[in-house]
Amino acid sequence: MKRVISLCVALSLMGSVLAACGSQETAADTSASTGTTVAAASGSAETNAKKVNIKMEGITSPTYTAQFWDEYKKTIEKDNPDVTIEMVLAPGTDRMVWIKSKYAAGDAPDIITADSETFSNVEGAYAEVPADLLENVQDTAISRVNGKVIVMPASLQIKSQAYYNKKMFADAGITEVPKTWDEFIQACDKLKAKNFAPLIGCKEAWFEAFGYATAVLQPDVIDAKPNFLSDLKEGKEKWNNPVMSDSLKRFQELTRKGYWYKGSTSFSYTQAVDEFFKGTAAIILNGSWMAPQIDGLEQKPDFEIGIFPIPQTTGVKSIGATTGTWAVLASSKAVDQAWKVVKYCIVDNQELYKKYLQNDNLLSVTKTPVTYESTPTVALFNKNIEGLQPVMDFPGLAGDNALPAGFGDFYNTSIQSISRGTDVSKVLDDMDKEYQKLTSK
Amino acid sequence: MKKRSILFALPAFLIYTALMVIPMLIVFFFSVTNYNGMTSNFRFVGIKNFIELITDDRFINASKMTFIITLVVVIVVNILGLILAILLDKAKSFTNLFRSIFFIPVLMSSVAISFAWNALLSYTGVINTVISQFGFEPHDFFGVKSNAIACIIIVEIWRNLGFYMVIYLAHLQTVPKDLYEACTIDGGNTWDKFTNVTIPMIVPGITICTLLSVMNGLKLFDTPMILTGGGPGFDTETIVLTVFKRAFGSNEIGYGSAMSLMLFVTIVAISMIQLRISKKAEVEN
Repeated sequence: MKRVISLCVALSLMGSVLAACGSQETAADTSASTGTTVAAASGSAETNAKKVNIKMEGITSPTYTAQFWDEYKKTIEKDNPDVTIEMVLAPGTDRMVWIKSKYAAGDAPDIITADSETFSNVEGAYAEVPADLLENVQDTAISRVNGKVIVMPASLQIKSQAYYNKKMFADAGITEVPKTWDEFIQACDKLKAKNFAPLIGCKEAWFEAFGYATAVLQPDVIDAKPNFLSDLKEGKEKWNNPVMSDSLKRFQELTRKGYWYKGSTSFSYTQAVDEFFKGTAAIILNGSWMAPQIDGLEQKPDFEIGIFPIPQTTGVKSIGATTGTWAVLASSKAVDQAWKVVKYCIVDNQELYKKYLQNDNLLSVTKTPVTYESTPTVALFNKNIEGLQPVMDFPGLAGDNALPAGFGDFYNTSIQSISRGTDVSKVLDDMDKEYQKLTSK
Repeated sequence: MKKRSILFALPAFLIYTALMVIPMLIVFFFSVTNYNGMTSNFRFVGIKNFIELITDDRFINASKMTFIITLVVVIVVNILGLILAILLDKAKSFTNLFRSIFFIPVLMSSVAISFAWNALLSYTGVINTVISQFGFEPHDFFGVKSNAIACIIIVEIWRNLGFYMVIYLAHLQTVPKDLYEACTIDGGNTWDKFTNVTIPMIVPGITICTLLSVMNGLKLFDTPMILTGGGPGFDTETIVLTVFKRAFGSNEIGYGSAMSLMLFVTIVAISMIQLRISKKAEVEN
């Protein structure tokens, strides 16, 4: 009897090991946290007699939900009966590691819609964008790598403004939103004097760096050195320069003066946003995507939320932005059909494009602008940026001036360590070393 | 008979080779290349990766962190594990119950444990809520380097203590009772019994426990990844976490492989030294 039981246990263990060794994607419910497929069919861009199966990446966020992507893909398929779209939903965090693993395993989606700059420096990764497709987008949105256009501009995302608790501001006696950095510091001092936490952040390096970097640091650098990134690439500039150093020292001031809510380092991004809605802190520096999120909240906070552009030293002149780009893998078995789908989503079906943009408060990059009716917070966010010069976010850049793969994370973590008190000059020197190391490979 | 034995062991051998040996050899190969994990046009770079490692501040910092955490965890889990095992050995009818209770964390997923502790130690978590009830200021466990390291150490101790306790308990239960009686007859007190009977008789258990705890400590990944993400900044990055970020974040599979190989060699060297020291101390039963 014992032998029989032992044999059964051994066989089932063996079976479970072998079953785990080769997993195929099958029809399944979506799961936003792990990145799974929405529709059936495995493999990449398989052709059968009538339909081409194309895998398309979709990000997951509070606004880009599985349901959104399900309706999105159905719309594409309805008007393009020769294709079957398989949505591959990226996980909420560590998206870049996920897509790289997929790429290394030969299982990346045919159409990459998020973080396409990940592979823009990998030779032969992407198919060249058809010239006729590029004719539909603004020239300023197009980026080139060695003269070739390998990513298709899809949107313009305004990176960050300061969302603030109007009640806390009123209680602290702040009657006008700050328009210079000094006024911003004074506002934080007034909030602190009333025992309000002026700012809330989170432990995720991208978010801790993001608000200040996109709204102040990068505009400071580009204002003083318009060709900074190309000069950096040519060795004419360094990360450790007086403009960057001064700007980061001002950022470090926010921690020295105790403006960050003390528990920020415990929170994930989602928790930090929730805590802001609970009234834990007065200001959160966040991106355009938060505006539609606020308007879509089922349970509104018990205070009114205002927005103001985060001022640079001399005032509000620029706003951080990123051109969102899509790409088609060169290794796709249906490159032409994939570009056809891209054209449909961005150019041909304006309603679909509008929905895609509206979800995250993105701006269109097509020559014929696509606008949408803004909900109140979205309208306020967009009104604030009128007339401001967009400055492209460094880690999000594609094209010849793109940062080397992996440097974006290092950049964000370095800024986070400055926020925690590390010597600015040492961190910038480390950034120079790391940049040299990654660009020499 | 011999043929049957080989055939019986063959499936396990094949799986072990495919999942352990071959990947290791592949890592050794990549460690001398500049492979980025995405394109096939990589080249041989000799020992360049290893030379870079020596001057890489991030790797040096990660090594320091790993060794500090390992040292503290090894000392605490082994001493505390032995003490608990001794107490459990004397608990008679409650031995099994307490052994099961202490062993539960070992059975749980390290990822689940890290998330649970994250919730406990969060600024608005359970521990700070209780602290606040007593009128104290909530504590920022993750924002300061020293606090973050302490949290990782505490979670690692909590997670592993039961495992080493069980090993020590098993060894304690094999110590012949007549040795203790002989010690009593010779006029030995409790401390004499502990140092002259217990410790020499459980040296194999001490060897296994210290060896395993050192190896697990040096390979630490899950807990810092989830509790702190290696932050604040790079402060709590361990070697394996750095390997992960370098290899998959910065597309430096070659460099990450070199780091892994250095870690492997270090673990083998430390293990061999430990085994040599322990062998001298083992007493024939």
